[in-house]
Amino acid sequence: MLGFIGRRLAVAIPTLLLVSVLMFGLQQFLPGDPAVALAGEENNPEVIAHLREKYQFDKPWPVQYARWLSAFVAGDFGTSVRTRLPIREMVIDKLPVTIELATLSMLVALAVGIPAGVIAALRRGGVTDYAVSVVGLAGLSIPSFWLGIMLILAFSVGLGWLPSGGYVPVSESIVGNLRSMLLPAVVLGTAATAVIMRHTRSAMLTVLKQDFVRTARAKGLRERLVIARHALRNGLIPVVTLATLEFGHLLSGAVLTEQVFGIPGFGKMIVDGVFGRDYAVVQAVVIVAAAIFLLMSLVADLAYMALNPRLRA
Amino acid sequence: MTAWRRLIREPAAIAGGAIVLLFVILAVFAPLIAPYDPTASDWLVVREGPSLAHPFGTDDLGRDVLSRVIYGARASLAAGCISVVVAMLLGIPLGLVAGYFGGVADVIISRLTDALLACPFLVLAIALAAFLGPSLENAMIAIGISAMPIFTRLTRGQTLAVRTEDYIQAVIGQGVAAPRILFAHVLPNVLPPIVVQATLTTAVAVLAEASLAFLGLGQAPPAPSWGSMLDAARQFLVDAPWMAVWPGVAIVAVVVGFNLLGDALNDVLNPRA
Repeated sequence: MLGFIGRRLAVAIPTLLLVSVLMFGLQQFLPGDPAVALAGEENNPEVIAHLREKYQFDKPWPVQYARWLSAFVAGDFGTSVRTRLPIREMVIDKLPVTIELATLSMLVALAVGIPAGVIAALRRGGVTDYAVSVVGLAGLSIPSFWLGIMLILAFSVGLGWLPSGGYVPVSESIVGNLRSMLLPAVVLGTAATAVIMRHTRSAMLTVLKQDFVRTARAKGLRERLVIARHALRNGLIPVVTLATLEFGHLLSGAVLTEQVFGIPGFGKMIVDGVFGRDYAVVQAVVIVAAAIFLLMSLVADLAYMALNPRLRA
Repeated sequence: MTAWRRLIREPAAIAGGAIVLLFVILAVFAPLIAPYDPTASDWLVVREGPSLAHPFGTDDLGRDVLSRVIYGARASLAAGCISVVVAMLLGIPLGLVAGYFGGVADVIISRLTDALLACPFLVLAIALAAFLGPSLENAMIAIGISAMPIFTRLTRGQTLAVRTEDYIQAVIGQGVAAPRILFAHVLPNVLPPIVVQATLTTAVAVLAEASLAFLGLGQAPPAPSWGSMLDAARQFLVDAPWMAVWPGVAIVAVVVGFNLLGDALNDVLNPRA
């Protein structure tokens, strides 16, 4: 197992380095002087000269990259031009909000997707199966920001049951937090629900044809037990792997959901970074998101190994 | 039976194809179909609900929402198709080279592909669009580059499989030049899964263009785009909810159309998948 993790990290670290080269390289194409941009409204030539020297903007590209990378690895992601805060602090502040949103969205996706997929597989070709297929296609085709707007229209503007936006931290009120996160979690979880539903259905259809399921039925085991103890346990192995990978994808979708509901998370950070011409923030968000995605891929493989007895030996 | 005949017997292909065709007609013939100029404001009918004169209502500047939805098909379809063409033009040659030559070229191209695939699709597209500057053309390039690694990886895998086939070995033995082997012999044989992927990626690209426009990184106003129409509609959810409904319905319809078409093509062209 340790050897496997080591081999995977040996691939993941160069991949991440390449992401950093790409993101750093992009900055070189930007018009204008980065020192002037960093100085902001403080158009003092001395400040600009100081910044140019500090960040070695006058040095060749590889030297600048080496300085930037060594600082990045040491946890210094730079300073935001817009907020004047260290970007590392911003990441530490915003990331937990997005992780909470992604976790709640995944709970929604699992709670709806798995039962729906199982029922569709058990009633293959029936009305339920057809309905699940239609809902699955719709889930993959609805833009999350539009679904968000429609749910705000229905549950906030129309019925007045839930807030239309804003974020209440858990430290302030657990109920308030859940109320503020319910609609965003449903919105963000919709596409993941569709993916999990489709895969659960096809995994269950495969498992239900296996010999051990036929044996369990032949033993006279009740159908409910055959499904729960034998079919589902095996059918869910690929779904667990998929759900872990989907968690990485949720970070991408969170950008729009956070924008619609005004949630101050990691996704909103990149949008604010884009509009504040805060490219260091954009770079940091992309690299941290890629790191999380690679980590989730590793976790998915480990979960698959842990759950599949044939791979455990 | 030819692939085309099998395709036109698939109900999903017919439904998907009909939806896509409808929006292509709307986009091409927008000036003939749209009842009003999509950018013309009429201050006497600001935020008016659906009526016979304006079936989808009017927006905050008194513009006809139906006309803007019809013209919006242009930006959406153009972005969906052009960004996929960009992704294919960049991704397929890289995949062919990596799969055919192997060695250092394969290592470099595969690592680059891994790096791009590690970045969440939309986050990468937003970052690229931000660096390039907000415009419809740059959104297409950003989406195209973000989707490129999907085609590189797919083409590479298919090329690896085809390379060992006898007919490829035969043309190698005849001394045919590598570029000719790649484009005249390998490419036609790896094309079916790429066509399926291109159709499904067009659906993703339409969603991505709408997302970038929603964030203000796409089509510049006043030209209509479904994503930017939804962004504007957010301010008037209480007074003018119709502004938020129709652009979204249009996006869903186009994306469903391409997804249905892609699934049907997959059934016809890759029956074992």
